[in-house]
Amino acid sequence: MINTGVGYSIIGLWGILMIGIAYFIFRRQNVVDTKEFITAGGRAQVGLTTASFAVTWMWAGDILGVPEYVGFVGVSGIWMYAGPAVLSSFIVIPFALRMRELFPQGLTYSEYFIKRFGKRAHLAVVFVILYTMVLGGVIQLYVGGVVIGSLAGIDATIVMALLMTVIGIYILLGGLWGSMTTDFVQFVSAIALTLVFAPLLVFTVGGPSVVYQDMVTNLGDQSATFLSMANFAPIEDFFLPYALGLGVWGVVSLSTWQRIFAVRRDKTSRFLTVAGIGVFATIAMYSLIGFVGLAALPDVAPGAIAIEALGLLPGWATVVFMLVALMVLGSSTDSYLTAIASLFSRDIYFRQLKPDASDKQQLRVARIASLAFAAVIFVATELALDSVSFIQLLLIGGIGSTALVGPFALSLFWSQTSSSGFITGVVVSQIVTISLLVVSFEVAAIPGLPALKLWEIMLVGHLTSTALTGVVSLVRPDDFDFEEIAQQAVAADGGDEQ
Amino acid sequence: MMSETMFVAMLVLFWIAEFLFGSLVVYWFLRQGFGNEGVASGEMFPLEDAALTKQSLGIWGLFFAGVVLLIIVGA
Repeated sequence: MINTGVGYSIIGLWGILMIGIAYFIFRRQNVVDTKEFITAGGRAQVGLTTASFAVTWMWAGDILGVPEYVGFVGVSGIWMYAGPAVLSSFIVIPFALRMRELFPQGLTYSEYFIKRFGKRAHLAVVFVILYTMVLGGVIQLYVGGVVIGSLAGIDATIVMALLMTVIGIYILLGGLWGSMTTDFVQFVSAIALTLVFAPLLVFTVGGPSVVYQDMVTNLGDQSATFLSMANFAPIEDFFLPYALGLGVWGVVSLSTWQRIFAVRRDKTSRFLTVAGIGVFATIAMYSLIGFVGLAALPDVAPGAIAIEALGLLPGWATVVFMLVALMVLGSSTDSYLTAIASLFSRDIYFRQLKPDASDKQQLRVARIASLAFAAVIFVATELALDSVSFIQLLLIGGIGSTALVGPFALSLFWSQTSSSGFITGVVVSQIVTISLLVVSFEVAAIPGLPALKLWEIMLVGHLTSTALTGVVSLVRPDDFDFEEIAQQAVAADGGDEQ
Repeated sequence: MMSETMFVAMLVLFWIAEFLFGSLVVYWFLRQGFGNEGVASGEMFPLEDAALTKQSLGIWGLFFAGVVLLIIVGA
């Protein structure tokens, strides 16, 4: 642990740096209209977008989560954790290519649903995305409070309040440009963390050979299982819920779509490929923290391995590590906050409440929303901190995606997908999965509903949403002309024109 | 159960992959900058070429094959 004064100084230094960068990009890219604020004008370069996408996926939670997985299941925890995160970037590719063909003028992907199905379906989508993105922000802040608070000896609530204030301010200034530019700095810092500090930690306890031998000694009979990549036994608890939830999170996440709409159309699959595969390498490097924990801290519970193992670093390294942890945390939280601000401005304020709002009004609402939702995420995290574990929060985070992925795919590729089918699929699936969660987590008993494993709940969610959308659409089919959407363009004031 | 040599080799492989990833993205950024300069906000770029999509899918195929190989060799 480092001195509290040093901890506050690092948070202050990080805050000044991030707000300074956001101000620079605000002036440089002239962020004075909604399109620039929400999608960076659709002209961001591949390098910047790849870094931004990758570091958004490198959750601060990975610093806790990957060592915890390794602590529970051994080396196979690497692919069990990294696989679903990477899968998300792969699965979103056909969605992204189709959307960029059909809906090139998009600011938020959720606006597509208003064109495809009308306001009621759009409202259902907005609800799911909104709570999913707030939950994403809560997950990030939760980890930030715990990790940075532990390293600096500062109360987690104070850390979270400081973080959200800084992030709220720099998003207010630069929107997506601010988010992506700070992301780039954060990306370089995160890579430096893994390339320098993870090996440093290994050598602090004697080097890779010593780590291996100590793991074998400490694990005893379990070493054959823990040191095998083919340890499939824990797959139900550690891989399947993650794969079925967060593995498709990218399709639903508005922060993913903002980057898809931001990059040049002719480079869409390239940035998703490089960023997705790169994330696997980063997550794999975080596993070194877990190996050190298994080797040097045999009595520590898996959930505490990351914090305890990082405590083995020399004092100066802990200071630098904390700065980098702030970078990783900021990149993901700011992405969710930008997404929520954009969603509120475009989808709720402009599309649902005030269709005649000018571009200036929309931009003002987006900026106010970035501060307001910073406060909402802070309060929600404060409430979650004492009642839910990190892994629970992480896995539950994927529930929203189970309602949307199947119906979204049908809507993009099947012209008969109807509004009633879509709404039925999304709403019923959410009701079913949330009810199953309530029963399975023993919050309350619902007659007739069995307790299921988390991956089974996710699977039921996917099957219900997709099957209901398909069946109801067959009974009451639409005959949608996709060319209708593609022929529209966004007017300068943010509205639509033919 | 993987041997000590394989465990060390795996860590080295992860480090090299991470280094290459970081280098490629930084190289792209240094060459390209933030956005397309001189391009108006919202200007429509052409759709992605099918050859580029196939190339990307090929890279994914190689990656997934590599992960399966890692599981088999590291079993």
